[in-house]
Amino acid sequence: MSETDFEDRLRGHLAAKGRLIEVPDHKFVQTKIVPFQPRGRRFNTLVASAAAVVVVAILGFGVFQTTVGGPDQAGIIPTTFARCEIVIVPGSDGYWLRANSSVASIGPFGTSLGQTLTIEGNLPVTVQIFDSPSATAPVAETTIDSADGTCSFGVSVSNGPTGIQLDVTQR
Amino acid sequence: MGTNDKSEESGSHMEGTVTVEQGISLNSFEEFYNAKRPHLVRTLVIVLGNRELGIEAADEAMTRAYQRWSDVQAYDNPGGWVYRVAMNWAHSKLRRSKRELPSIYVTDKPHIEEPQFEPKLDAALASLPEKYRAPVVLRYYMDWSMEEISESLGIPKGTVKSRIHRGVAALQKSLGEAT
Repeated sequence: MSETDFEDRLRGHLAAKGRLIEVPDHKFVQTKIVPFQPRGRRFNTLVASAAAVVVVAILGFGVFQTTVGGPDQAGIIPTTFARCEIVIVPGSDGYWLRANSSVASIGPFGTSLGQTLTIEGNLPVTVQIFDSPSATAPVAETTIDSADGTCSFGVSVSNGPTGIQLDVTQR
Repeated sequence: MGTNDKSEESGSHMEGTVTVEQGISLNSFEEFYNAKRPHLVRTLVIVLGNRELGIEAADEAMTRAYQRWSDVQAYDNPGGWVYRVAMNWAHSKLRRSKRELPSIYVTDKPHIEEPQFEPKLDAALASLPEKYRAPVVLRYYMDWSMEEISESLGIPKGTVKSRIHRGVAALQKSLGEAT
């Protein structure tokens, strides 16, 4: 068999092999942690104790990206620190969670369904869920004021129902 | 952090609100993601011989492409860049975990669904060292040019040609069909 014939055969084999490999439909999920902003005198204590706003956005096509602006960038001294575990409970689709941060730590991450994404940040933590990257209003939102507690809420995204559970514990 | 700078500029710091990253063409990245990811995943699975590692490497590389999309989209071969990032990440992970590459991953489905699938050729491909397998797969599965393979593997074009030639010859020899 000439090399050209063999090359054709190799192409056919690889194409067939590729078709036999199923590619999971992972979504990207975008998260942001931005510094809490002071809003009037009554928040001074909160500001002094530091805060972070955690935003999780589920994009229509599902990109996950992390943008972190940590409390240190706002000159805030963290005194109340919480570990937030966000569990993406998929409907029929898989989700992919990945993040890194120089200030808050986020992990573990991976590709498994039901994987827990841990975000460490300063209270209060606000979590918002958006159904598209351009949405200005969240479809779901919750604020964690105390370091112990659990809340959960469900949102509906284009590819099916998604439940998101947020567990918060103090470190 | 570049991405954070952008969100700072976007003035998104009102309590309880957020704006999405400015200055990144999401549609463009979405098109790239949708068009390239399936082939990227399959290529990595074949080259690395490990399904989970291939998928994770692809996702990692896609994230990095997204974070640098304004630069990456201007490259001649963004897919080549993503492949290289994915392979570097996978090798780094293997080194950290001190794992040996497992036996080559074959398929999800019964071979009978694809008449062109050749188990013996697949085994021969699996036994090929990665430095030969990668250019062979990029050439005959991804259909990349020698230049694109050279760029994505970071080796000279002449080396790419040589490795493909040797890889193909080794496959033929394994099958007892050497010319």
